[in-house]
Amino acid sequence: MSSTLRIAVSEEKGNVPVTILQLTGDLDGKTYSELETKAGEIINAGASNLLFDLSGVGFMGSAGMRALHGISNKIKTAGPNGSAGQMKLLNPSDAVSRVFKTLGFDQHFNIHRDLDEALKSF
Amino acid sequence: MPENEAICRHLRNSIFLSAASEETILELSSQVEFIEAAAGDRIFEKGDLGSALYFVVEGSMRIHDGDIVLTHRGAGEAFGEIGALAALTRTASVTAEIDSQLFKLDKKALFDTMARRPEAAYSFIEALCQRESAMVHDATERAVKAKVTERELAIAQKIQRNFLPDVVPDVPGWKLAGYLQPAREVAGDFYDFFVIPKLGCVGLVIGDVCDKGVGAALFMTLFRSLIRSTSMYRDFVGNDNNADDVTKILQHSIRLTNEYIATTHGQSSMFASVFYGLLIPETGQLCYINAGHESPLIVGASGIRTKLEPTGPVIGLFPDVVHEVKIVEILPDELLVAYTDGATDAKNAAGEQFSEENLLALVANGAPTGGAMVHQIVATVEAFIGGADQYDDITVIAASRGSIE
Repeated sequence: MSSTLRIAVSEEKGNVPVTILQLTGDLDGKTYSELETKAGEIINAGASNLLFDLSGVGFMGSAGMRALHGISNKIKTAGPNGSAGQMKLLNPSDAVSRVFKTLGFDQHFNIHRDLDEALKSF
Repeated sequence: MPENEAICRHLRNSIFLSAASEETILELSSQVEFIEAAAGDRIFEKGDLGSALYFVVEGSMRIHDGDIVLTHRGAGEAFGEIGALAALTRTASVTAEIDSQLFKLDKKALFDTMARRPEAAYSFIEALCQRESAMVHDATERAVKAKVTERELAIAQKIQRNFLPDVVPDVPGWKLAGYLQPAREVAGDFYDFFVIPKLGCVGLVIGDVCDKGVGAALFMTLFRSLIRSTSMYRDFVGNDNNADDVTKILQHSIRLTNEYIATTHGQSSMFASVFYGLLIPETGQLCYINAGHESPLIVGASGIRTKLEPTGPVIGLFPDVVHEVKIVEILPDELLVAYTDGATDAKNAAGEQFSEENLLALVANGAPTGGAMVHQIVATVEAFIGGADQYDDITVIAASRGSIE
């Protein structure tokens, strides 16, 4: 039994261009490096506003949290000329929200419940 | 299609036909099919029934199993011999890495030629033996390397055990116990018990460094040592007015550990969830910080009385965070149980989680003393996992307070 993660990438034009990464599957010790690699490619290609749609994530392990934190560090200097980019999260499941709350990540990350509202917040 | 002479030259240079006669080469050259493969084209898939042998004329092929690359085959080399010579399915997939040209030799043509020309069969057997010999050589080298890695990990495991308490402190009126079951050779979980004689209190620590394996194990030693040293040796500084205040020691220790890791190792995004309590054994008073850890439980005869929920986030990521210290009393005949999420997230062969609900039910009706409770939880979770792989480190600690005489 192995966990898998699918990452679908799309673009939305709001006030600023936002890259949406829609995650489906488990974000854990086996899959987090795929997310790191993908997000790294997207940031290196010039994107500085990332929205992670977590509605399809069934299980979030500490390795997944670490990956999200690492990406949030990277995005801090991803804007034009090294300015700060933004990273936000959309719709974590109840189980994933509980993990965020226990670890205290809910205070650190910008978490939204509605796509339009999330896009407008960038 | 290249000229016949070019085909012959190419076949003659292949290790599979190095001992074949000119007649064999000439016969086979009229039967090869010329294939042009674009970069990314799949030549065949693992599991397919093999029907041909391939010679790389130009380009490069990736021999792989999914994402795992086994080897590459370039110009002058051949691949697909297992499927071509035996009634076996393809053992790996082959994909063109760049635009490439191949000669394909059909299985039937190959067998017809070998049946009529023993020297052709001999040439193939010799080439196969050469490949097998090279594989044995590689396998031996890999086994030696694996042995070295295994030995290194065994040493790491032994050293890491020294980062867990070798004896549990003997605290009058209390029974303390802890157990750590690593998922791999080394663990990212830790627990600790230590006495601070000057304050007459006992430190109870359980922690879970994110992820597992070697990286987590390196950080485990750091987290554990920082918490222990900033707690136990604080009065070495001299004239520290806060050194005899339980609350301040807790806050100092967690704050310093958090600050140190977040600033010195911030780039690695490594963090730990930690529950750290200082217990005054005489009164049962427990001052604690819960830094993003699964809530420890205080359990009495009538079940779980209270959950010690997080008082701040995990440590190692967010500088300047101040964790709140809370105080709770463990009454006579009650016990404190703390665990890492390796217990609740443990999965059986069917992929079902042990779950927090099961753990809470087990604890609520569990054994009354520290050691028995730890044993019961570990044994139950291990029985649940059964033959499945243990996915994460599992750690449980407990401290039970005896009856008042």
